Amino acid sequence: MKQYYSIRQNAKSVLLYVAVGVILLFFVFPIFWACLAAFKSRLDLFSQIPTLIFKPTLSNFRDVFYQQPFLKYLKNSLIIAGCTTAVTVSMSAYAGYLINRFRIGGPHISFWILTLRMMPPVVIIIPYFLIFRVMRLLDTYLALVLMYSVMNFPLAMWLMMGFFQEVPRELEEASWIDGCSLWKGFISVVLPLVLPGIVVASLFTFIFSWNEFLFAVVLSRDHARTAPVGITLYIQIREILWGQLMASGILAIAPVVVIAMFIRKYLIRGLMLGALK
Amino acid sequence: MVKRKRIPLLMVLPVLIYLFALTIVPLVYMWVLSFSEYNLSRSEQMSFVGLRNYFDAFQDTEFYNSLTVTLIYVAAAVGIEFVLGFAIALLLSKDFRGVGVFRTIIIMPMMCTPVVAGLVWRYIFSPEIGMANYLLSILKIPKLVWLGDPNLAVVSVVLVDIWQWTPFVVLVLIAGILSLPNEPYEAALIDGASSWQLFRYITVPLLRNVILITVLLRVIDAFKIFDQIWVLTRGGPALRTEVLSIFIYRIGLRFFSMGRAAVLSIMMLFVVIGLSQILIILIRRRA
Repeated sequence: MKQYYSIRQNAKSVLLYVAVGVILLFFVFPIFWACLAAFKSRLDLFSQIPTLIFKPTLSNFRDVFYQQPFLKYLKNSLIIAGCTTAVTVSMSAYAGYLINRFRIGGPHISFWILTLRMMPPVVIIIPYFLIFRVMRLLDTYLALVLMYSVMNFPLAMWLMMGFFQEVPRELEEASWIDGCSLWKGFISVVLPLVLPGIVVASLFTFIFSWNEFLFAVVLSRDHARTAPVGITLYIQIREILWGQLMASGILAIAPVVVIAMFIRKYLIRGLMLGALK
Repeated sequence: MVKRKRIPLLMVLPVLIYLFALTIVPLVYMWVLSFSEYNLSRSEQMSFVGLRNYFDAFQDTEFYNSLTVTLIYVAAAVGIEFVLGFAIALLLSKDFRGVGVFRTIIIMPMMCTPVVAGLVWRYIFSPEIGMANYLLSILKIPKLVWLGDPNLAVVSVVLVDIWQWTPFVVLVLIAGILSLPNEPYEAALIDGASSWQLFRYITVPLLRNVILITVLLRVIDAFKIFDQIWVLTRGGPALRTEVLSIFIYRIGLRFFSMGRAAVLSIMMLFVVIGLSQILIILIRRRA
C-alpha cells in the first residue's frame, strides 16, 4: 500500500515538474532565443532551419556600438531616466509625506493623483506635441523628463505613502517637541526610516522611464533619441537587421531585468499601487 | 495645531500646481482643439468648427473598426491572461523544490521593454526564418503568415500580450493565495470538500477583491496598448490590429489632423476615467 502510494506521489511530482517546465519554456524561450540571435552571424540568422549550435560572433554588438550611434541612445536613456527618477522621487516623497500625514484634501487629492496613472499616454501626446513644438522643446531632454516625471509621479507617490504609513507618528512628533521644524523633522527623522521606499520608488520610476516608447518616438529626433526608439531604426524599408536588432534589444533590457531581480519583493506592491503587499 | 495644518498645505502646493499645470493645461488645450479644424500638413491656421469633429467621429467607420479591435483585444488578452495566470499561480503557490527560482524567472517577460518584447516576437513570427513556422513545419502544418494574415494578425498580437502580461497575474495571485489563512481550508477538508470545492468556495471568494483589482488594472493597461502593436504590425494588415492608441497616433501624428485626433482622445479618456473610478472604489474598499 505504502509503495503504491509513493509511486503515485512520484508520478504526480513528475507531472508537476513537466507542467512547470512547459510553462517556463513558453515564457522564457523567446528571450533566450533573442539572446542567441544577437550572437549569430548573418549566415546563421538566415538559415532555413533554426540553428541551436553555431559559432558565436560579437559582430552584431560591434556594429551596434561602432557603426551606429546606439551608445549615444543608451546614454540619452540613462540621462533622461536618471533625471526623471531624481525629480519624481524627491517630489513624490515630499508630497506623499505631507498628504499622508496631514490628510490634505481628504482622500480626494491622492485619488485624483492616482487617476493620472490610468491616463493613456496617447491621449495627452497630441496637445504636448503642439505645445512643445511652439516652445521649441521638441528633441530635448527637458521635454521627456517633464513628461516622464508627470506620468510616473502617481505610482511613486502611492508607493511612498505606503511606506510613510508604516512610520509611527510619535517619532516626528517627538522631534517637533524638541524644536525641530516640520522640514527638519521630515529630512532627519522620517526620510532615513523610509530609505527602502525611496530605493523602490526610484527603481520603479527608472524602469518605466527607461522602457517608455510613445513619448520618446514622438518628442525626440536625433539629439534626444532614447534606446527603445533607437532599436526600431534597425527595421529598415528593405530588410530587418535582426542581428543588430537583437543585440541592441538585449542591451536595452539587461539593466531592467537586473533591477527587477533586486526589487522582486516589492514588485507587487508597486504594480498593484499598494493595494496588495 | 491649526498652524501645523496650514503650513503643510502651503508646502505641498507647489507640487500640486506642477502636476496640475502639466496635466490640466494640455487637456484643456485638447478640449479647445476638439472644436477646431487644425491640420498642420495644410496650414498653421486654427479655425473654429463647433461640434463638427464630434459628428464626424460618430460617422467614422475607421473609428468603429478601431473600437471593435480594441474591445476584442482587451477581452481576449485579459480573459486568457486571467484564466492561464490563475492556473499557473495555483501551481506555483505549491511548495516544492525550486519553486522560488520558478517564481523569479517567470517575471522576466513583464520587465522586458515593451518594444523589445514586440520585436522578439516579430522575429519568432518571421515568415521565412521564424521559430513559429519552424515548429509548424515539424508538425507538418503549412507555414502561416502570422502578422500579415488579416484574420491571424489579431491572434498573434494578443498572443504577445498574453506572453508579456500573464506573469503579472501570476505574481499577484501567488501573493494573494499565500496570504490566505489556513483555517477555512482545514475546516472544509474535515467536512470532506473536494479540491474544486475548496477553490470555488474558499480561494475565489477570499481573493475576490484582489482578483477584481488585478483584472481592472490589466483592462486599463491593455486598453492603452501601443508599443508592441506598433513594432509588430503598425495596425495592419487592413487596419485589423489598429487599436485606439495606434488610430489616434495615425490621425494626429501622421495625418496631422489635430481636431479629429483630439475628439478621439477625449472619448478614450472618458472610457479610462470610468474604468479607473471603479478601480478606485475597489482600492478604497480594501483600505
